[in-house]
Amino acid sequence: MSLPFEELAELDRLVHEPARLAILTALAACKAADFLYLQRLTGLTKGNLSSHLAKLEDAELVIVEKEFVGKIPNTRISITKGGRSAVERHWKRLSQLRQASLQWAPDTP
Amino acid sequence: MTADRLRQIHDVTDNFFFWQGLRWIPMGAALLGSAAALSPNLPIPNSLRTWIALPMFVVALWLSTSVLGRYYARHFGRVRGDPSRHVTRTSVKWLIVYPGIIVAMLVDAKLGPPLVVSSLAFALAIEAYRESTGGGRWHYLVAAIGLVAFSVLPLFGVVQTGKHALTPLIGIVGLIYIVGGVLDHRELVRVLSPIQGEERVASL
Repeated sequence: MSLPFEELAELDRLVHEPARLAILTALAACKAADFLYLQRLTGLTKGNLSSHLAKLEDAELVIVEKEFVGKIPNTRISITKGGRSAVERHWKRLSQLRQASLQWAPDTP
Repeated sequence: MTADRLRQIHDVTDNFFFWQGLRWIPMGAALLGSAAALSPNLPIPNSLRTWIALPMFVVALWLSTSVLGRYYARHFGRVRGDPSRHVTRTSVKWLIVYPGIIVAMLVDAKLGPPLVVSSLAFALAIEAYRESTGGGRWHYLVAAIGLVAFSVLPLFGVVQTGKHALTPLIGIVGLIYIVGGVLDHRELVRVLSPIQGEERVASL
């Protein structure tokens, strides 16, 4: 049986990064959210948020679409089926790790 | 990023519409205004009372959906909710909560029980609302406790029972909408902190 700390290394780093985990967690709770909402949620600058979204889009975890709301351009982001299962899997893994770390005790001589 | 913060992100996104507190203020003001219009203490002809209340709700609805809806979209962004996540909540709201409130008000108006039954119904509805829209916001629990306290006031002779209790109750519910709305908005600003260090973007 592996130690909780060893299992930590097996976490999906693409999903585990705090800002991306926040983005995926939010998107998993709705059909879609726009760029401004995610920016306020994460507190990231436009550039940083764009960079995180690009990574998630490259991994096919989110879909980024440009649209017009009236005459104003708007960027809408939604989670893919794969993204939803990735974040759910990640949450489950984190929960298991938490349980394991609570039960774990170092070997005593 | 703590688990609590992630839970909060999930809950607020899932219930974004309900956390847009300023939207509830016009409805609260309309309820307060209606309570005033329906109050027998005001020298208003009975035939006019309904006609005073009705336009207030029309204006409140317009302010809430159009003006304040645009404000939230411009400043906090847009979230497209997923109704399939809330089938149970929607069913309970339309099949139990709203009919329950109407029945309770009819019981108060027609039977005049020793307690203000409608106040208890509103208390339960408010607590169910708080729980089903992301929890937290303890001011609603305080409001629900206040409504329970109001429901027993007739036992001490402080408030009249029956239909006479309904007008002040509508005013109290209006006040809860207003105060709750302001506090909800504050909570939303805390969760969705203003963007620092660069110009605000409505879009990209």
